[in-house]
Amino acid sequence: MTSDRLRGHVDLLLLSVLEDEQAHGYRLAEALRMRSGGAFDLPEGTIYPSLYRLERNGLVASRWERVDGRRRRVYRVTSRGTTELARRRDDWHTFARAIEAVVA
Amino acid sequence: MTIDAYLVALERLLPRIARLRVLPEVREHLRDAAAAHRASGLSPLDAEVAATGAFGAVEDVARRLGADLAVRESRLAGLLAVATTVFFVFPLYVVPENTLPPAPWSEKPRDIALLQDVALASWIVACLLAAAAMLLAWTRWFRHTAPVLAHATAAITGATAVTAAVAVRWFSLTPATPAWALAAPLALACVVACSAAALWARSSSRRLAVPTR
Repeated sequence: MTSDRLRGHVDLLLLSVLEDEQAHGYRLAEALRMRSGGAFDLPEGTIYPSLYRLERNGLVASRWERVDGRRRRVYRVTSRGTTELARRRDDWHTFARAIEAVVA
Repeated sequence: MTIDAYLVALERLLPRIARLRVLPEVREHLRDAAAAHRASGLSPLDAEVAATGAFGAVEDVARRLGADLAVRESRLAGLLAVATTVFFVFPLYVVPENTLPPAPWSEKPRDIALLQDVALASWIVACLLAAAAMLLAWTRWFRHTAPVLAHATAAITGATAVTAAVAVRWFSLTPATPAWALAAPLALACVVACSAAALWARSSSRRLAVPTR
């Protein structure tokens, strides 16, 4: 799936992954690819602007941590991010149901 | 493209203000990706090429990565410049002017009047530059914030120096000046300066928290 079609949804996808686990950038890209069955094979660099924006808005927080013997910047969702994720998830389900009702 | 070549190209294209945060993170990401490709059987060189290819075209990545961070840093710096200017005007200009005992002269000495005019002009210039830096940071011309900030900083320094000269000259001609009138504004200025520096250092240290190899 092209990154153009995913534009506008990357924040929701990242928050969803981070809700389940703290992760560094590469792990996030890997999780998106695996959880989508390979459909979301984005240019990996595109997740960072979204992460920085989410961090600026207080929805995720990050810090350098030692992971597997190397220091990596690890992201986690904040309580505000969890609330925002629930709201966006509801919006998405409503939208998906509406599309499905028309297209099916 | 190898990882080193990719990072060099990215560094060249990124706004200076965004490099410290972005480059270490991208380097670790590319190393992880290359390690995964090596584990799947690629040669070290092919693994690096595959990793940088999957990360995206360097021009596109630089444009996307740099913009958001540069905007954030520029806005913070612009706000700090305005706050510093405003807080310095109060202790270094307004307080001495209104709290000192009556001056022992019927007509203000010409040199003090001149120094005060220069100090006021310096503060106005500093305020205008700081405000310009802050406004630039909130527009699409945010990349011009840094040079304007540098001029604002120079103007603030100059204005502080001239104001200090006014204070020293004024106090020397006013024998009844209590010690607190001299100490309070200078102490307040120091506290404000230290607070601003601490805030900036804290922000910088977070950006500079690069991984050790």
